[in-house]
Amino acid sequence: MTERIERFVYDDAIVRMFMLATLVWGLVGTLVGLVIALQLANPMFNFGLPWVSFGRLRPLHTNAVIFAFAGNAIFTAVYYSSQRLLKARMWSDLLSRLHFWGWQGIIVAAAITLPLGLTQSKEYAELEWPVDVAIALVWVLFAVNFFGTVARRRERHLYVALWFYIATIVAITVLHVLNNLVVVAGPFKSYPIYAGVQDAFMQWWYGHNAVAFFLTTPFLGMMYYFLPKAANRPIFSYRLSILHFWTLVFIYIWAGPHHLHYTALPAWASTLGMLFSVMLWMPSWGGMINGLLTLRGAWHKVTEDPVLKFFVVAITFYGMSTFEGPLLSIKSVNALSHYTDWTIAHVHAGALGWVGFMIFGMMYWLLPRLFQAELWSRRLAELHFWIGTVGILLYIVAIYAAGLTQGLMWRAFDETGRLAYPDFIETTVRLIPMYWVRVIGGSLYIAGLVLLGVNVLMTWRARPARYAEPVHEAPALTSARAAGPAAGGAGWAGWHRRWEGLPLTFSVWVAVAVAVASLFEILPMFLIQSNVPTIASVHPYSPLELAGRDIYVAEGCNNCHSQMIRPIRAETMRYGEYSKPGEFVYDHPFLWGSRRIGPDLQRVGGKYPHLWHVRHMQDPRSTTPQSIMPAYPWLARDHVDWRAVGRGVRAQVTLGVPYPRDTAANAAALAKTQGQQIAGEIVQQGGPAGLEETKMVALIAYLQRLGTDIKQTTATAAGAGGPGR
Amino acid sequence: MKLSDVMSAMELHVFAEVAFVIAAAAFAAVVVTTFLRRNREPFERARLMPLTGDDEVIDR
Repeated sequence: MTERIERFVYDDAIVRMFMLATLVWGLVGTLVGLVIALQLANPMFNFGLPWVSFGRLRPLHTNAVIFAFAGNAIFTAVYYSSQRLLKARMWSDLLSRLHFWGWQGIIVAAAITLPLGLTQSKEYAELEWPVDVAIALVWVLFAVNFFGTVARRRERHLYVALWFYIATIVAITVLHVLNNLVVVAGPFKSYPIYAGVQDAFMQWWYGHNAVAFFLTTPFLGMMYYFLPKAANRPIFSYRLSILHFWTLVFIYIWAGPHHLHYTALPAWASTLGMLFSVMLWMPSWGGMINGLLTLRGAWHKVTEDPVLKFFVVAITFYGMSTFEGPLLSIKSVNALSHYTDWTIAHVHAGALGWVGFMIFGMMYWLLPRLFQAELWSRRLAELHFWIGTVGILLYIVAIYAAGLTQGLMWRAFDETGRLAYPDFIETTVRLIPMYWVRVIGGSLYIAGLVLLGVNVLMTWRARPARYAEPVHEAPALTSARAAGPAAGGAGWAGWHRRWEGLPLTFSVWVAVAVAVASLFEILPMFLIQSNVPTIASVHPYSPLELAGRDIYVAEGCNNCHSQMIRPIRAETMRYGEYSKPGEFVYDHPFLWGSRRIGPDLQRVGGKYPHLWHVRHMQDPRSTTPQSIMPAYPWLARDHVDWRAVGRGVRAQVTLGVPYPRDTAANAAALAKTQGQQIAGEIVQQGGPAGLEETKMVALIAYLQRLGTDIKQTTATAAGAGGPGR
Repeated sequence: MKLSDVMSAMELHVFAEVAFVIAAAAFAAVVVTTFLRRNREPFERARLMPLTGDDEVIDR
């Protein structure tokens, strides 16, 4: 039987669009990162403006670099490599354009809403529900277009890069949907359906797997495609890539709870997260070795080719980060590193080194191919590589030092057994020089990006008047060929060869791996009552406290302050009684935080008079000299949205929070009464008058409530006894 | 009786620990079968897939 030969043209215009968006958002995301680095070095860079204060800009930075910079790079890689590996133009040009413009619209929406304080507060999932809905819709467009292209491919076998893309699409869909299940309380306000311990668990199941399936798997796909292209050598071991893929997909999904060691999360979940995190070392290093050994016999090219330089350093950072990740997940190490800058250094080694350098290597390789012109300046690319590398090293060395300094100072005792640095600000001030080194390192990295921009611009200017569109030929993939026997192989490996030609079966197995691993953790977490022993004296927040909590979320206070005291002596001496799971049962969302730029606030209720809080928020340096906290003068000017208070309480009732019926009906009136009481006390303490309807009073109401419930009466455990650990 | 009552009574968080053992065993099995010498050849063609040469720099 003769094979029918088909002719086709690839859609490179969409690749060019995503690549340019990668550059633009890379510059924006890193520049916002530089601004917040400056804010930590000196709070004057908050400028006293709400829209650019640290708490609001930090999520903009993380979202911009993850979903805008890395996201557009992922789509650049997927659209370029998938068409060639499948020997097919993308299924629908229209869907490709809708995907592109939809994704850019989402990024613009994020850039507007986050500085306005419209946030869900969960890290890397801050965007509010309308944007989340848009993300889901655009992601589905992408998935349909991708799988449509797979369906009409002319190459039966799916290459390993495509497996990683499939895992990304499947897992991100599951993660995004399950972590963003909310009850809507307004046009841009919602509360998650989960509370406290369970919300924390779901968030870090999502958060860690966002790293896995957005910042790792698609970039591994990128590595498995673009590294062999750049080196002109096949991947070192295809069998190692099989092992790399399946172990990564199956193991990563369990690792999230390591973000919550020694918190109120049940110990069994925490231990499980640690064990699977340590196991992750194996597939990760398998991948790294596979990448580096691909260059066997081609190392001389690395000295000459900036593309390979970027790839080699990126893969090395992948190895370093994936060694450090399991290390940080070990409980005794995590006890030191958690809440410190160590985590920030770890994240940036991965983001700047692995993700960033993979993107730059790919872009330099693509530029001459997409613009059909020689790269404008190879020397500029070399310069980009070197100042980028120096920038990363300055950044991470300074911040590793900051993290270790911080962690060791927090837990240091003097010879009498008391905290050596009882005043938190002592540990902050010590870090400032390292924060300035970070500013220098970050600036160098951004300078490298600018050089890339110059190279892109100048190469683009040398493009032809009309891009050539080479016509390719390949035999059609008839149903007989598609279903034909696999290319040999025995045992499990033979079966795997068959799956690689059966995309639906393959995708189903990926979904099964993700779902099974998730359910083993999620079901016991939600269904075993002893995980969260309730405490009789813990009651729902008053309407004004709830409004204050919403302001705490909007201002991003949780980006700097934790609300989780671990059962570690240095913490209980500094902050008070350790946190219990039952204290958070009405916390939609949980606000445990992941970082202590300022002190923990779990037991701040009643620690200071109201007036202290007023002065602290108007000018933090007036109460705490050398504080790096931004000032919040607008809180004393802006009024509480009383209608939103009612909506908030009604949404909480929908979530099952046991408010009395008349509380929901009279939420605004009750809130105003409590506001007048607090404002009166502020005046009695010698403070300003007229604050009763301001956000300042609502936030003070919330802060004064924090951690006080268990002081009301002796804690009574209902259900299983003990703190669940 | 609710499902949460049943699971709480059965202390099913052991499930996760059992899953860990199964996962470790599965991993070992996959390593052995993937690296059996007889399975080497089928993957050779797949290794070469990105190097098809249909995206060379266009020489104008």
